[in-house]
Amino acid sequence: MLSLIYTQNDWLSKYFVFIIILIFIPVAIYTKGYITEYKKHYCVNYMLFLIILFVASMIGVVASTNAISFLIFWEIMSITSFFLVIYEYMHKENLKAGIFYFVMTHISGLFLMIMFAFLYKYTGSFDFSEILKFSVGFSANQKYIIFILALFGFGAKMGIVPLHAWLPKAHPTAPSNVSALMSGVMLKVALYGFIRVVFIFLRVTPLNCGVIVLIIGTITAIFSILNALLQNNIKKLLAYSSAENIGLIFAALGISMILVNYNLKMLASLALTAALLHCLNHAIFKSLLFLNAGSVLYATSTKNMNELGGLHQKMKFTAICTFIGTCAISAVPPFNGFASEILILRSFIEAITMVSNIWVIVLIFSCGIIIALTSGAAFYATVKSFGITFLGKPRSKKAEHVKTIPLSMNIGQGILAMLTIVTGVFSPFIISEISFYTNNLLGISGKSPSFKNETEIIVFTLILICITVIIFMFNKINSLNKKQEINDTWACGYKSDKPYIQYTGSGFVQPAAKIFGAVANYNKKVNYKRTIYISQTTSDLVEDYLYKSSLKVVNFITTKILKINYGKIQLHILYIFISLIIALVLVLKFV
Amino acid sequence: MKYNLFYFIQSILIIVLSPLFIGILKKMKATLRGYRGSSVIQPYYDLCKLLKKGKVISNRSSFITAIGPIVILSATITTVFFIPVFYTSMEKTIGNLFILMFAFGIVKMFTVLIGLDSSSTFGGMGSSREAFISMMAEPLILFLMIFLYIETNDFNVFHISFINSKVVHYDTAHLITMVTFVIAILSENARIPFDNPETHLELTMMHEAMILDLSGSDLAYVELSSYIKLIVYLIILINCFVPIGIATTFTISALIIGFLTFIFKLLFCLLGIALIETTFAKSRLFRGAELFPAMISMGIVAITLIYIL
Repeated sequence: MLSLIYTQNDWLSKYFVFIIILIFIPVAIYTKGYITEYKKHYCVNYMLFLIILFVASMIGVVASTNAISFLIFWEIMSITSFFLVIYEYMHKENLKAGIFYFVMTHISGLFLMIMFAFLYKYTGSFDFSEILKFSVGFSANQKYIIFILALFGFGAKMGIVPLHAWLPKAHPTAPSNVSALMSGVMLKVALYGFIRVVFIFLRVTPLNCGVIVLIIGTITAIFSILNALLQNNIKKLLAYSSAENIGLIFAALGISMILVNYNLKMLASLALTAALLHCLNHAIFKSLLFLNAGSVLYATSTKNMNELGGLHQKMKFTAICTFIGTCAISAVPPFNGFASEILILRSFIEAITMVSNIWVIVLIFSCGIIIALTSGAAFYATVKSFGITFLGKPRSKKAEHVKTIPLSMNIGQGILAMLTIVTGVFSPFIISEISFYTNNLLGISGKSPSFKNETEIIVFTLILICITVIIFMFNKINSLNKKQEINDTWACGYKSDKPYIQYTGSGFVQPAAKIFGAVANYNKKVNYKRTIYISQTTSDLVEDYLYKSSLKVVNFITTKILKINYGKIQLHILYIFISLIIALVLVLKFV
Repeated sequence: MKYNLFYFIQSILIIVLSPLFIGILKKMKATLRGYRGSSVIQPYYDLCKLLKKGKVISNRSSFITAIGPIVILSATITTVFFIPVFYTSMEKTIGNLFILMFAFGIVKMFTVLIGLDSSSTFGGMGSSREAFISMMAEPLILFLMIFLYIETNDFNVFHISFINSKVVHYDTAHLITMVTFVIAILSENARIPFDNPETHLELTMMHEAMILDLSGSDLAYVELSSYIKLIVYLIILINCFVPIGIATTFTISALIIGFLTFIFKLLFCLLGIALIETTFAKSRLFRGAELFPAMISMGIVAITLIYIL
């Protein structure tokens, strides 16, 4: 147990500990104001205790140097996050979503246990540094087995596509500060595990592994962003968008794995840097957006954007923070999302010119096209989420009577918004910092980044600020002595503009729903009940088909098994005896 | 990193002259349709008139409308400094194609949000359509970058046009990519067949619908920015795909030849747009969107042509 105390003295661990603490500080400040809402019905200290345990366990996962402590902390992380998801236990649906999350997270834990057991079998040690020593000797088959187990184990926690269904359920039910931590940090912890196993333990994986990761990443990105586009629940939209960003990171990792295989180390280092940078950026802007959603929920007590609108008048600071987050997520320079987006696209493009195999080129090219479409859709989805929620006129009573937001919540959001700008403008320095590590990991000598690192963004920002100031001054001088009227918006010929003449969230994405609706199982039905109204529904295709059919199979098997279960104690002892013998035989034969 | 003074001068020239080019485009369209049309310097008069007026803003509008038009104009002007016009060299300088294309993201972001800001139906409609069309056009922009990188191994626009200006024979893939980029230009700048910039009819509105609630100087900024944006896109088209004649040495004769060929090529492009806009009708939103998958498949053809032939 002493090994629990030793911590990893490794750049990758430090980087992720840095991300965890960086996000935790503003979220903690935000929590102070946010929990006042819960004081009436729930126990507040319980939540604070769980959050601290949650963050500590995540740091434990990232810092641990052996498999046992890694798994213990991993389980603590899973269980505390489960209790945080069902914190609002008085709503029955929340419990259902929580149980769903619990099952998924344990599937993940199971795969990881098996994976570390195999690593133990191949190397004879649980210690990471020992595993590292033996890792050169892995055969291709052993690499495949570990890779597949890592993919499922960490993938279920990250939310890659067939295993993503818990994300849009758990995030909306969890309190917003918790979903900020879960989406911003916990997904990154799973990514850390994946990077450690695949890039450090396995080093060079067979080409197929890289191809699988690239394809899964791309599918995750496009599938979840199209789903996000059609959601009207802010937090559900953000949850799907988290899955999209994980898909992007995954695709970049896939490119890197493919390139390592072709021994194009410089480019592989570029793609890995892109993935690691996007981890940091996504952690910052996604937790910012979740905190903003939390503020909206706190002030108006609704998450449905079709009931909101016009919040910019009473929640000015939150509106500005959300605007910054929206710019970052839709890759608008000079905010941070843009820096990593450029690197990811660059690694795609440069990979096309360097790889020699025509099929891999075609694959990377088509994935790149889909990733580009994804970034367009991400712009669409986040503009919807900001524009419909904060701009225009209030669409319901809830959006008119807004509670004031405590100072501490504003400080939390403000810090993250500042970080978004700082990490965006100074991204070249962060990139060169990360690339030292990636160069080192992939065995490239030299201290400078092996790829061209554009410092242009700083120049761009300066020019932009300069010109903006000039035009602003010009505007000030020009508008002296000019009349400025403030009037109602033109109401298309009616007397006054009613809030319902505005576009709603569902109306805003109608063009996309018409073309891509099938991806999100989009259905539109016209109902006649005294008045005519349209009901629009979406559901998760993977959940509908894959999960429900597998549940049916399990149900079928259990009904069959029930027949041999008579409830006699002697029979049960016999079963136990038989299974013991089978287990013993298996152990003797295969271990 | 060096920024040649001459780059600066040519960029300023483009900012000053872009309303003139738009005037020429309008004149061309008028001539093709058989009427006299307004003078070529009419856009300058329009901008001056708008700048002189006071403005009316909606009581619902937020900080987006307050700072949007200014940021839109300054972002577009910034992009002008990142492109070569009629002189280029291999010096290490700014001009990254990614930053250029993402900078237009700022413009897109603010125009779309301005549409939603004033709580009018038209604004929402315009924003929704604009976001949809630009989402579909995104792969074409990426495709442009992929192709130019394959050709020149560089992301800098100045270098790309320098390298491509030495090429004498263009291959088929080059022309195909050019066609896809032309479609991207038409969609990003709200031209026919995606949007009709001349009308304020409900059915044809995208760009005009979003800025319907702007007036006075705000409208002038957004209009000027849309002029400059079109010219910048055309310059990217000209200088990345057919940069023949662009001045690559700093001599007077080369500069004069570069300037004249540039003006000729730009007028040719404007004539092309005028021809498209006078002969085609604006297509339905979804009919227009169907062009993008077609263009993406053309892009795939271009890539295969490069690698297999």
